[in-house]
Amino acid sequence: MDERDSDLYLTDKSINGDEAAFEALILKYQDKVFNICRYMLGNRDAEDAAQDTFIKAYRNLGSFTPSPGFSAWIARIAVNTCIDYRRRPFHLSLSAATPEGEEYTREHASKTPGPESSLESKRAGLAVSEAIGKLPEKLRAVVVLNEIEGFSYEEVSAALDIPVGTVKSRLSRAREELRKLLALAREQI
Amino acid sequence: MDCKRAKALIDEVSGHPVEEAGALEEHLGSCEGCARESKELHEMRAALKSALRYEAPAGFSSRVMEKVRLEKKPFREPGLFRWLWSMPAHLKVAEAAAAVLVVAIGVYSAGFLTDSLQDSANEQAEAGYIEIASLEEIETVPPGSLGDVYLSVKENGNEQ
Repeated sequence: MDERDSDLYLTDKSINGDEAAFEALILKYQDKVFNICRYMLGNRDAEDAAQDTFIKAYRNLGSFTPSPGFSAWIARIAVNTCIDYRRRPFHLSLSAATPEGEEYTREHASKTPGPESSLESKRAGLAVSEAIGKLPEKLRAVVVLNEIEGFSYEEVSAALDIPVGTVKSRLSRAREELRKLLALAREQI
Repeated sequence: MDCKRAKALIDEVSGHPVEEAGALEEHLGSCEGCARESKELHEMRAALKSALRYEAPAGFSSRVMEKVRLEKKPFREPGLFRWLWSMPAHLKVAEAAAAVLVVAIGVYSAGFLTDSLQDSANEQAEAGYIEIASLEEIETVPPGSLGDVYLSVKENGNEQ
């Protein structure tokens, strides 16, 4: 059974009331969804937005279509949820801040480095992540999906509802911005 | 290879097509601009690989499931579209073609039906005209009938 079939199987079982099947879907995609929310919103609302993403996904399971795949489908819900969170008043975010947060958030560089370089690489990774966080929202979404989550141009296009050409042009603009931001960060050190 | 093609190849995430790899290398060796762009892109990709990937906090899935249990059961949309989506492309085309054929046959045979209706309607109409025409030719009051007697009595009365 390939990835697509297994997602379809799990969504079908979830619709038929199998809670374990939906929990399996959550476990499979929670890191992806949380990572997207964390980059789009920062630490404060990331968990709430990620939870909302799965609740919305559950409510809309009936309209899930196998094309372009569960990954792009749930990423789309996540990005839209984050945009809604960004628009809501600041005081709501404050009151909704969860007590757990940074201390529970396990983070690691996407490429596991050897032990001798781990501190160095973590520092570099942190600088890159901070730079991504400073990108405008539209560019950030493209970078997170394509460069960090490994989505193809087509999947990014489906997740963000923009043409593939726009994905490419935003990516190259994002890289240009990142280059400047990283150069700036290096100067400050 | 020109700069436009070289830039497009540099931009491909999935690596360069093998047959063009040599030509690209050659171009990068001679074109300073493209060589710099390629180097910068590789550096950027390497930097992005080191970006943090945040993982969901511990207990995340159970917290979501608590909320899911409060939800109504999800609703499945009528199966047709879902079923259509899940079909391979060639089957979708075949399905559409079959649907068009069925409709076409329907329209064509419906044409026959209405044509024959039209014919019988025409015949009936013609028969009607004949009836009307012959009625006009018949005298309203045939001679020697009760009506004729009545009329002649009435006319005589009027004369007097």
